[in-house]
Amino acid sequence: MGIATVWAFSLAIGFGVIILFYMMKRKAKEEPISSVMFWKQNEQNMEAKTSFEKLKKNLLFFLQLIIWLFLLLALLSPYIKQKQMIKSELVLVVDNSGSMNTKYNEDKTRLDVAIAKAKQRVDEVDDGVKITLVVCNQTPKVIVSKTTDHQLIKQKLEEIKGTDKKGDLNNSLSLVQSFSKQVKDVNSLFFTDTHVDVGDIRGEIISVYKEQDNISIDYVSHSEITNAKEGKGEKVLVQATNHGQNVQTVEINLYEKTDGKEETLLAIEEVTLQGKESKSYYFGPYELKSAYIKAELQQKDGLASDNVAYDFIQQTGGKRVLLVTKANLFLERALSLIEGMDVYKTENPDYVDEKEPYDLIIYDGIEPKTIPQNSSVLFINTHWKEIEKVSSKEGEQVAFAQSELTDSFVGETFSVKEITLYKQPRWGNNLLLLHDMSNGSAGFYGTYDGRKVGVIGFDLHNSDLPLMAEFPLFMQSFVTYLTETGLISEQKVEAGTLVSLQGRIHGKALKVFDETRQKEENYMDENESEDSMYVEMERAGLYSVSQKVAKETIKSYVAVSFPQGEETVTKPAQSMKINKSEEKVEGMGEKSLRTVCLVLAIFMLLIEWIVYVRRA
Amino acid sequence: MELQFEQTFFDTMNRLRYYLKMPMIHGRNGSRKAMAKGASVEFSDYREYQLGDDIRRVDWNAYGRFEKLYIKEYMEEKEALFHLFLDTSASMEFGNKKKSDLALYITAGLSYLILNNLDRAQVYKIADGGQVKGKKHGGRGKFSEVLQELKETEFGGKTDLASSLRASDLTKGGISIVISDFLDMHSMETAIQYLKYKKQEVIFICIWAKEEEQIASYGDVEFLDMETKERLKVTITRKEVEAYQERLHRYQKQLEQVCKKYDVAFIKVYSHEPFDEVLLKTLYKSQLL
Repeated sequence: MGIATVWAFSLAIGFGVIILFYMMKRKAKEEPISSVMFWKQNEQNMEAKTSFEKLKKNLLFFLQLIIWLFLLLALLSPYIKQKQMIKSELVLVVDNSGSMNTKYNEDKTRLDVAIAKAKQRVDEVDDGVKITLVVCNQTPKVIVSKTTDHQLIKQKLEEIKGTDKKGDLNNSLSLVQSFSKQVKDVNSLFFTDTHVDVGDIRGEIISVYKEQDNISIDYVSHSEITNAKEGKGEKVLVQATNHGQNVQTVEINLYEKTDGKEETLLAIEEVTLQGKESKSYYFGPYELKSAYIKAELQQKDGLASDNVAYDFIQQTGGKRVLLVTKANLFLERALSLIEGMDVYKTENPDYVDEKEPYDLIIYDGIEPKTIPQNSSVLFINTHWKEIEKVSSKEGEQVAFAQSELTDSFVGETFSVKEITLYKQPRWGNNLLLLHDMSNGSAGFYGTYDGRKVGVIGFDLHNSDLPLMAEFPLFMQSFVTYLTETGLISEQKVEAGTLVSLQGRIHGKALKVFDETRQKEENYMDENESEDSMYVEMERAGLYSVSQKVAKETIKSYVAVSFPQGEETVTKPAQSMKINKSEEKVEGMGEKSLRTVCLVLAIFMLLIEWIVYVRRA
Repeated sequence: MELQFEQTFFDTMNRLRYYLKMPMIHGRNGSRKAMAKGASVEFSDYREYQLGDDIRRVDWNAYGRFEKLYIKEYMEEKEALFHLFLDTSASMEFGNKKKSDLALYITAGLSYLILNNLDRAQVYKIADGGQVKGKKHGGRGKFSEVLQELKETEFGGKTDLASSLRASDLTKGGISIVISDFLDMHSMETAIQYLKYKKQEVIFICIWAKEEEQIASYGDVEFLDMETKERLKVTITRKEVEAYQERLHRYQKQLEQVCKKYDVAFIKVYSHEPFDEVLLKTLYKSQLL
């Protein structure tokens, strides 16, 4: 015999309570009486009675103990193992990818229907059947494993939230197959709108697919008008696709959002799209001074998540770069080729423009006393107290290391006359290393103390790096990296993409706000610091990331779009039973004794009532 | 306690005349027929003339027939003396409708009846083996005095019937009515024997409260004896109650048997019964009516 709910043992304390209750001295009610003569005679007769007669006086006490015992047993959910034809263990796999947010009918989405059907299946199975619940979009996730608590399964089903992530149940098959290998009698139920090739998995596909009309706003972008004939300002491009079979006429609304103001409607355009047609529409020109522009469908259709797209407007003026050098034509030339860079030059390393800080300060052989807080820095052949020198060498070959900045020219080498090797800090990513793989880094980059830092350990004049064709590209990617000072690494991502948030080290905790749903999101992981984190936005929409630094609040936006290809189900799921799903398997089943215990408890309760009434 | 009577009570009592089985020998002249021949208007018997008899009592018709002188004799009218023994022990205070209240009313009611019938009534308050003897009252006008005596009654102490009655030092002849709950079997027979020795016609009026027979409380109870102050803890169950009632019933039977043995009228009443009904029941069952 086994016990399913061990925690119920803690209720054995109830016995103590009952015993204590009876042991406690009960104060007898005092009653005046004309004569105790007749009661005394009664008591004298009672003394002559047997022990059993005396015990009968406490019969109610024993009955209550027995009732509590049976109730406790029932709570412990005892069972006995017996050989029987048992219904399989059940694995419920629920698809909660983006397409499942498509409407099934007016009130419910496909996901709602899937959850309802899953709950129904839970109700239909016998008590004692173990159920595992898995949700899957890009990757599968086990929510509950092998539980006989069917109420828990239903509760967890209710808690499943839809995502806008790409994926389908095919991603879960290897996990489900592993369950099948552990236990032979597993029955897997797949609740999805997309076809699943289950192979030899025993189970059933429950389709929640129902064709719906859907138009998506695929993207929106803007560009500056260069042709004077077209006017002045920015023109906006919006692409929309009709994923359904039927012709649809819809309205596209274009909005502009400026910081500190509400969204402003720029234009409304009625468009007609044939079935399966994709079309681009131009709006403008506009003088855009906004943080972002938004294109949105007026009408609600089968899938709401793909009805909106965003584009961010760059600030006017380029990045401000201060070059602290005596003279470096190579560097100046390379910087001038980078678009959007306003380069300033000085020989004074401690020069500070208090009105407008520089995005990047390049120290070329000149060591500063202090470094402005709000600027990224690049040290070229310049000592910095925060980095540890390992050694100096002469006449070396330097190679580009594998990094995101040097992907295109990994392994390319060049010569240097003199080089300083540094101990690469924990926050650093290797950029350059000696060809002979000596200890130390010839150049690295990373984020330190809330700013981006780059280090090159040699004088450009004394190397042939500037003479390489890769040099301008290298400088462009390096400087572009160093001048990107937003809180978020990417501004436009698809739902489900892991996004890096990087705040200032001296700032307060990063806050992520869902602008579309107007609620604060909590992505904080206990292992992450408050000023940096990786987040995965599961729902499409606009999010803002903000951080309070001293008195200022820095804010960046990220637009999470509905993944392309997820709007339509190219191969809808068909409901079917697969691989003898109905077959029962002989095995050791568990026969619950809970009902028996409850019945006995009720029976004893009845006896107690009879005894009590008879006493009364 | 203030005893109040309705006019209807007096109307009823005024119409009642009771009859005593035992003729009165002693006592003053009253309206009761005595055994002794006396000078009343009621003819009793004839006897031969003796020297010194009143010549006016000669029955000349009898002389004409028998040519002998015969004297008419008349019934002696003697008054009966009623001894009303009122149990004033503490147990009489028991009951939602106290036994003591009914006892007082019965005593008062009987007193009125007795006085109205031109007999004499004397109330004895008995408790603790002793008694408080009241005055002998005769005549209708003395009822208020009886009421005053009864008003001053205080209940308390233990029951010892035999000792209390012996302390009364009764003269022979009369009617003794004992009003009590008789929760003292031991001395009861002795009491009866004493009364019978004193040539009393004895009537026992036993008053019990309904609560003494019908137990309402269950569970753990600590009884406090109102007389002895003895405490007794009892767990009252249905079986206990049945046994108790059985015992009570047997006790009552014993009382009745003892009374029957000595030709004592035993009337059982309950404290909640209207006293005038009790009175009538008493008179009827005791064959006074």
